[in-house]
Order: sequence, then C-alpha cells, then structure tokens
Amino acid sequence: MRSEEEASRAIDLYGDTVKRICMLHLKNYSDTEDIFQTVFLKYVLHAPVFDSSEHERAWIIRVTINACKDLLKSFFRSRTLPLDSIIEKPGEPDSDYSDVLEAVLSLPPKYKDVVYLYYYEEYSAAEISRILHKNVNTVYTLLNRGRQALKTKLEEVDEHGK
Amino acid sequence: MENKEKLKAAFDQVHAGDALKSNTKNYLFEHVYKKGHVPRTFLRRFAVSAACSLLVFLAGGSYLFFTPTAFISVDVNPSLELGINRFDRVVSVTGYNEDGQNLADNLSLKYLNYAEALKNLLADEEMEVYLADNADVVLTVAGDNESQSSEILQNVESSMSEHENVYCHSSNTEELHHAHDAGLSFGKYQSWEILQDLDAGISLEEIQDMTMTEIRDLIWKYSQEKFQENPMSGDSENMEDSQECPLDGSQDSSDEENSLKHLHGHHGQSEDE
Repeated sequence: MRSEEEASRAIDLYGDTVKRICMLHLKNYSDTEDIFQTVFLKYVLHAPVFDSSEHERAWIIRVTINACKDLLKSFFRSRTLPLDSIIEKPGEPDSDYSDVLEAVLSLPPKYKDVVYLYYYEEYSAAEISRILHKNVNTVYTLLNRGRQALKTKLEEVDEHGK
Repeated sequence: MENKEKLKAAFDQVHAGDALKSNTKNYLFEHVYKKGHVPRTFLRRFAVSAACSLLVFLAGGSYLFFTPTAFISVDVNPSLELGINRFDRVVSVTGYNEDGQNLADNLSLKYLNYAEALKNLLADEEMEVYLADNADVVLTVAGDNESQSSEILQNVESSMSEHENVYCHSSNTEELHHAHDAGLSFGKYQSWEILQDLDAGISLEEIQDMTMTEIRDLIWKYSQEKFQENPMSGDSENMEDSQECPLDGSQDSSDEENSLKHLHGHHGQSEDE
C-alpha cells in the first residue's frame, strides 16, 4: 500500500490527465468524482513498483479508461437517466477552443481515446496499442478515421461560424 | 497542423479543480488511511472465528468435566453423595440430610481424585464424631458406565481396606434416580428398600436421620423375625442384587454382617438342596 504523501503527489500530478479522460467519456461532475476515487484508490492499493514515471502515467491512463468504461456499462446507468441530463445546464465556460473540444467530444467513443492519446499526450501508435491493448494497425485505422471525422466536424463548425 | 495545436490548447484548458482533488484526497484518507481497514477486516475475522472455536471448545470441555458419570454415596449418619466425572474427579458434593449438608459445606472435596476425597472425608475431624463407636460406613457406587463404576468400586475397596466397618456396594443409575427423587442418598435408599421387603413399615423420613448402624440393626432384627416366622421362604433377593463386600474382620457389626450373609446367601442354597 502506498503512503498518503505518494497518493496526494499522484493526485496533483495526474489529476488533470484523469479529468481530461473523464471529460471524454462522462458528462457530469459526480461521475468524474467517482472515477477519481476509483482510480486513486486502485493506485494506492496497487502494490508493484512502477519502472518509471512514464510507466506510472500510462498505468493511470489505462486504469482511468477502464474505470470509465465500467461505469458506463454498469446496469444502473444503462437503466436510469441522470437528473443532470434533464435539467438544462449552462455548458462549460466558453473559450476560444470550445469548438475543438466539442468536436472531439462528439466523436464516436472508439475514436476519442486514440485521438486524445495521440494528439494531446503525444504517444506513438505503438505506445497507444500497448495502453489500449489493441493491435498497432487497429490503432492506425482508428486514428485515421478519427482524424477524418474530426476534420469534417471542424469544417462544419467553421462553415457555421462563417 | 493547425488543428493539432488547437486541440492541445483546448485540452490544456481542462484542469482538475482543487475541490475535486481535495475531495479525492479526503476520500482516500477516510477510507484507507484512517481505518487501515484492509488488515483489520482480516484480523477481525480471524479473531471472531478464534473466539467462536474457543467458546465451543470451552463449552464442550466444561460439559465433559462437570457432568458426573458416576456417584459414590457415603452413608454413616450423615449422607453424602460425591459426583465423579469421567476423569475420576469429584465434581459435586451433595448432602442428603442435615449432617451431610453441614459436612458438604465445610469440606472441600471438589476437584480431588475420588480416592483422595474419600480418604480426606473419613480422616476429617467432624467425620470422626460420627465414626466413633465403630459406626458402619456404607459406600455405594453407581454409574451409567459399567467399566468406570466397577473400576471405582475396586479402587474404593482397596483404598478403604485399612478402615474398619466399611462396606461397599455397587448398583445401577436407575435406582440412583429413585433415591434422589425420594430425597435420600443412595446407600440409605437401598437399605430402605430392603426394609420395605421385610415389611418393617419404616418411612423414608425416619430412615433419613438414622445412622447406618441403626439401620443395619433394624434389618438384622426384621430379617431374624421373618426367618423365624417363615424359615423356608427366600427373602433375600434384594440383598443379593446389591453385592455386599465386607472388607474387614472387625468384630461386632461385621459378625452381624457375616451372619446376615449367611442368612441370605446360604439360605437360598439350602433351599436348593
């Protein structure tokens, strides 16, 4: 078991990463909080030592993606509707790049992780294939299609904007 | 690619809020560090199971230890009964009349080996008062487990051989229960049954406070009468049921005893002839 200091260091260091992945998959704050608790509880109880900080980061990303998937496919979630989705909420604070963010979020789920890992975390296709436990060629394919989809979305937005 | 820069910038804007971070830290603190619940659940489970098995073990052990499986009834005038458990220890001392009750209260015979307990009992100062004048002592052994009671009987006989006027019997537990229902010790109850057969018309209450010597005299007297009335009838079944074993060659009372035996034992034989 890891010490409290290690846990808070990990939360400070990887909190943003976890939050971004949560944002890709989830839509409300309480679910994000759940994922944070799950991920860092696992981190604290995870016994093996990581080879490097890169290894640790990859482990966190992997665990977060899995936790999100688990949450999304849970029985309770598939049969109920969160209150948030009924009540109209003001969206995220508008920013210069909200259109890009929206475009990524509107991608089909299977492309989101790949696009995020490739463009933001700047992992190579081989690394992504290890993190997601997928074939390298599959990753390339997902990446290409994701990129295409993203491009069309952004062009649409641009046209609308104009 | 321009879009790539935009995308990076967009994601860079996303941060985990301080509230989210501190909530997660609190959660970990509450659920992991404060309780340390992972090792404790294991420890607690172990402790619970250990406590349960200890309880069962103790209950079983104390049942085995505190349940008498055989009884030794000691009758002089005070009537005492010693409950013997399967480990040959005295686990209960019950007095069946006033003198016996006093003795039971004053003597500490519990948890001694029965042979030791009997020795202590007969060597006791208070007991000496009753044992004066060569009073008869009747020891009756009864138990469900035949091998145990016969072993006890043998041991008692051999350890009592130095004492005068000690008579040993053995019997079964059924009669023992009858005796307890009647509120008598077992030795006296047996004597009372014999007296009943001899039509002595003596009540249980009267028997309770008589000394064994007196009772023996009575038996002797009534059987003598009966013998005179009806010399050919066998009135001795009861006496034969309980195997008597005079242990010593002491004079008066054992003469009586011997003659009783002759009376009963040989009488039957002569009948056969």
